[in-house]
Amino acid sequence: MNDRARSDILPAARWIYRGSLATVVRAHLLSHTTLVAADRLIHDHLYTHLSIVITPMTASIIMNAFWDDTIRENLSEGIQIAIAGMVIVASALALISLFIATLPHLLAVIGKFWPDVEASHSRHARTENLVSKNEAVLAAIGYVLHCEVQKRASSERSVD
Amino acid sequence: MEIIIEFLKTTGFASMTGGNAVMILIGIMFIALAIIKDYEPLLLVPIGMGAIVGNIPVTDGMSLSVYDEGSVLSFLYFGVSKGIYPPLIFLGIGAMTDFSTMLSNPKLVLLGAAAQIGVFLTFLGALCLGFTLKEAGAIGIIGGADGPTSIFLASKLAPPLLGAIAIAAYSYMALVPVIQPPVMRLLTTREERLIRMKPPRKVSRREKMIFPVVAFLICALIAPGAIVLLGMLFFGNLLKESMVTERLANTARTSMIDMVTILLGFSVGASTQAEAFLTRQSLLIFGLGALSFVIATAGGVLFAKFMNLFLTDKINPLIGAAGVSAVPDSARVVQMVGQQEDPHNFLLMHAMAPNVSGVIGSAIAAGVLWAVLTKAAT
Repeated sequence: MNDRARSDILPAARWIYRGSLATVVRAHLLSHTTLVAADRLIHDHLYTHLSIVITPMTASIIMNAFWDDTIRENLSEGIQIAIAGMVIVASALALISLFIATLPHLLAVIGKFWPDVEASHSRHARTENLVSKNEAVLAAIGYVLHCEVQKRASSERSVD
Repeated sequence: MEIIIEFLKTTGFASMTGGNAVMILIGIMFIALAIIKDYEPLLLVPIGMGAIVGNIPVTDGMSLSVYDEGSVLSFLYFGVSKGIYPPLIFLGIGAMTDFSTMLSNPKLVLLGAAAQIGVFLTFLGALCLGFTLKEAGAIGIIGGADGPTSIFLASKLAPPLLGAIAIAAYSYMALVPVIQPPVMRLLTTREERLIRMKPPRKVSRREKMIFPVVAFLICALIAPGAIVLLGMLFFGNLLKESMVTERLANTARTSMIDMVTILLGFSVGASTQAEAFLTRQSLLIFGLGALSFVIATAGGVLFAKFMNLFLTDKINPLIGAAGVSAVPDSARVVQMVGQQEDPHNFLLMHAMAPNVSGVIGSAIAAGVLWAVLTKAAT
């Protein structure tokens, strides 16, 4: 077993020994030579401690059995796309979050130079209220007048 | 007599296949679920009726189905196949959405990002099952729990899978109250579910008006692929918040979104013809779709728990589940699960923050996948 293979195997073996299963992805990253050596090492030294072990070699066999070259190529490209995509989404939303967090402070500074839009809108709203109040008063006056006219008309009719 | 026999040969009874019957039953089931269980009736009724219409066998030479050139249904389906309806729906959603809770608690935006892990893990899952990169991208976005986004991306990356993806996305969106609660309960303790959050601060009108413009600029500059969806979303919101275009905002959030929903739901339903829909691929897409919702929900909840490790004002991890977009159903589910533990705990308004950030997140994810995968050979 060469040094490179050993340096690859030992961390992997230690990792498995701690009770985890070797994942398919990790196995995929190891070279074929390393896989064979790792498999032997795990079998010789660790097999007695673990009831079920998916060794890098068996993982590789499983991968070869179910996934052809195209799938493996797509998957390796897909992993990069997925990581990049997740980073981009997280960065965009983190930036939005930062912007929202700083917005009240920014507005406080801007507010000194640029009058608050809310005030003009509330003025607009007040004017609308005024108009609607006036309309209500006019309607009330109209109603009273109408009632009076009706009353007079009916009294005139009763006289006749 | 011969004419009658010839006519009988052209009826639906004569050329009905088992697949058509199954799809008609599925359509009826959608309508029943919508009416009896009240699961997303605005979507499931048009889709269900569309599925029934689309699966009535037609005689050769009669241009009737969505796939027949020049048929009425094909013109309705044009808005789906060219990705026209989804941005219009986003305009309406924008005009309906109130970003106040998000603006009052910006850290909750990150929950919307965490839930997008469902998109990317489903994308990898689809690749493992042998789908091409483009198909996997279109399937993965189901995890964003956003019907219009799923349709938009599928129409760009994998048009043949559009029907299955749209049906899977909308079916699972309707099933959010069924899928999410077990995952939420499994990943949280009772103490966590009982956490009460501080009421959100009052957000000024000015913040609400500036937000859609700047948020759009941030998103569009980072992921230009998302400009169509996010442009319309934030435009709709600006119409609402500017206070000077109330009539336009009102049209966008009522009559317009209703019309587009009818057209989209019906034509997507009509596209589910048995021979195109009942395939092994569709079954795999449905399986991946369910998985994606589970992963997205788990991603949001677990990230909320992770955030709690660093926060002094703890957040209720249940609201992480609202990071899958599904507006506002997932927020309602959060409220429901929270109130099962404490009837006086009102999480709905807090859950709306990750909910709307999930909409933004899934649109960005769609933009990224479209930009990257549109160049992919397979």
